Parts: sequence; structure tokens; C-alpha cells
Amino acid sequence: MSLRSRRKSRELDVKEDDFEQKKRSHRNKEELQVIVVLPELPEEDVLIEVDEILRDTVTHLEATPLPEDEVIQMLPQEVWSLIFRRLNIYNGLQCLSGVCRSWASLVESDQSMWKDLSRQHLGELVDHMEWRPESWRSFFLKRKDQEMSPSCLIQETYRREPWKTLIAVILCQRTRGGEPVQKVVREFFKYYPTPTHMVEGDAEVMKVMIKTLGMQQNRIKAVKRCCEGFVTTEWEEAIELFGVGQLGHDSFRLVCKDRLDFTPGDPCLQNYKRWRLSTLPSQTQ
Amino acid sequence: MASESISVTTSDDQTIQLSRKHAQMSQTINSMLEDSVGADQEAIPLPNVSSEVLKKVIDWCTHHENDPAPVEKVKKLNKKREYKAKNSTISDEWDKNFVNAELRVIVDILLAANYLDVKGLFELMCKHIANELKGKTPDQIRERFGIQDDLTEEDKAAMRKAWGATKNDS
Repeated sequence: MSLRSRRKSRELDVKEDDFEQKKRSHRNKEELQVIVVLPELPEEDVLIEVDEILRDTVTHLEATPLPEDEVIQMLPQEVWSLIFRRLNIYNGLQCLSGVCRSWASLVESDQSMWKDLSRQHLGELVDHMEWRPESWRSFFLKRKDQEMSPSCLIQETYRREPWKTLIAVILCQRTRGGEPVQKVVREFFKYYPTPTHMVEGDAEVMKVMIKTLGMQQNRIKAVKRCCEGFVTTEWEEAIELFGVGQLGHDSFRLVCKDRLDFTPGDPCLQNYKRWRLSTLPSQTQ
Repeated sequence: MASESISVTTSDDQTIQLSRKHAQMSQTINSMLEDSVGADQEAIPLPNVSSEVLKKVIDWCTHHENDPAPVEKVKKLNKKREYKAKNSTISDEWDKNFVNAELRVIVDILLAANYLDVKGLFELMCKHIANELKGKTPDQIRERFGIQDDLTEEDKAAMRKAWGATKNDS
């Protein structure tokens, strides 16, 4: 099932974002040189003196720039945690915890932030679980992928969302996997963006949506049970989940978790693995 | 209710008049007002805000005084997309200019907005700082915000492992 995916438009978006950001940070730097904060002037100042004081402070400030380190320390942790929540997990949190100790511990210890992230990506089922994960961070990271790389498998299109990879495999097994199939899968995820939506979705409607793929009865049953198991049960390997076969298992391990210590059965996955190895630094081979 | 303007005393002992409308955009002042109905001649003390910062906050309130109240989030289905939209850039031109200031000023305003509980302003400042952080490497962030790198090599290695950097564990 080597399926061409369309990532181009997304990539373009990313590039534009980068460009905007560069522009902005550049402007900020210029601005920084211009703006100088003046200290409060005592009220009884005579006008003539003001000019002198201004000049004095300006030269003084230029000589010793403000200690920005302290500025950062002024913000309470709750505020930082709110700011961190606005950042996307992939380019954000990992990078933030690499900045300094206090941020690293903040990112790591903020359970509610990880829970929020889990809810955003997996839906409300996370609130109705029988068991409490010890760490929401590992809960989230296990059910979510961390890395990205370009290729053309449909599993890869959804590699950042491992549950989607599993569902995509269920949906695409025994199809030609061409553009029409991909379109159906895309639409399907659009209507049911999280496992919770899949579980709660109307089976009849779902069947109609994927009718062109065939075997809709079995597929929907597998999709629903797989999604429920994915979020609400404690599993070690994806193959323990209902509806996940050897291909799903291999795809999950190889594409989502980037495990290269086994040989997949599917030829397309074998190709993928070969490519993946070639991108790694040589000492690991 | 009595007077149209309210006076507050800032941390540097200045008394500033602001209109009731602007004062009520701050939840903190608003609740103080409700607590002290009748005795509204007295200036409200704001020991955590300097006059300079308060003026900035009032500037912002003046510009946004006619904004509609924030609408409750709508459909469940769109949640994910909304999350992304929430992250996106600052759309208002005036706001863009407003946040284009020195880091110290930004932090002061953010703290004031937090203390005064001015929702929109707080959101704006958070968004701005988040945008500053976005897409930067740790080194760039340290440089931009002047943060000391106090992580040891072991810390970094442990972190790489915890985050599931996959290049070393094949």
C-alpha cells in the first residue's frame, strides 16, 4: 500500500509561517534599539533639568543593557505554563525544555498541561477512564508520535497521530490505496477528528462514508473497537488492540514509533525501513 | 452607580483617573467596586502596578472598549481546528503595534494584566510571547530572552531519551 500523499500544500504553509516569523523577529530587534524605557521622574522637577536627566539616563542605559534574565524570572510559573500551552507539541515543548532548568521542570511537571494536550488530540474519553496514568506526559507521548520525515506511505501521512495510522491501515487494507481511497480516508478523519468522535459516531453514517472501500461492516466495527481500546485501555503493543493485524502492528512500530529492530512483512514497509536507515547517521547501522 | 470616573493609586503613589467602563474591563477592579458600593470616593490602591504600565493598559482598554464579549466556544467537532486558530498570529494591526515593545515592557504589562485580570490583554500578551517562542531552537530562545543555559550534558542526554529521540535506540 504505497500511496502518494499530498503534503505539498501543508509544507508551503509552514514555509510562509517561518518567513513571517523571521520578518517579525527582525523588526523586533530594530525596535529594541530604538525604545528606551525612561525611569519615573520625580514630580517636583524643574523643566530645564528634565532635558539633562533624559540625556543622562539614555547614555546610562545604553552602557548597561537591562538584565533580561531577571525579567523572565518575574513571570510566575502559571503564566509560563499558559504560554507553553499555546505552542504546538512538536516544535514547542521539547525545544522549551532544552532552554533551561526551570523550564524543563515546568514542562515536565505540568500534569494538567499534558492532560489538556491528551484531550485535545484524543478527545474526551481521557476524562472518563477507569485508570489514572501515573504521568500524563508519558501517556500522551506513548499515544502520540514525536518525529516527522517525508515519504509517501499513507501511514506516514498520519504518523504524528498513531491512532490515525492504525485506523488508516484498517480502512485501506485490501484496497488499491490510490488517490480515491486516500480521499475517503481524509474525509473520514475530517468528520471524526479524534478517537472519541469515532467511538461516538453513528455507525450507519460511517458505513456510508466508506462504502466505496468495501467491507464497510467489518471495517467500522474494527474502527470503533480499536479507537476505544486505543484510548481507554492499558496496552503494550498495538497488536493487542482489536482490528489491528500484522500490517497495522508493523506500521505502528516502524512508522509511528520509528523502531527499526525488526523486519516488516509488507514490501512497502521494507522499502520504508531501508529509506529510514539511510537517513540516519552511519554509526547506528 | 455614582461617578463616571474612578481613581486608582499606583505603586509609585500616583493617582490616576480612569473611566468606569475601562475600570470594569478589569475583573479585579470590578469586584473591588462591587464590594465597596457607596464608598466610591476613595481611590483604589493597586500596589502591583506602576503608573507607566497602567497607562499602557488603559491605552489598550481604550482601543478595545467596544469589543464584543468573548463568545463561548462553539461546536465540539471544531475543537481541534479552533485550537490551531487560537495559536495563530495577532490579527489586529493596532495590537501588533502595541506588542512591538521591549521585552521588559511586555512582561510588565503581562503581569499587570494578570493581576488586574484583563482577559483580552492577558491573552494578547501570552499570544505574543508564544509567537516569539514558536519555531525557535533552544539557543535562539536563550538569546532572545537572555536566559542562562544551566543544563548539564547529562540533563540534555536524559531529556533526549525521555522525549524519545529515536536516532540512538535502534
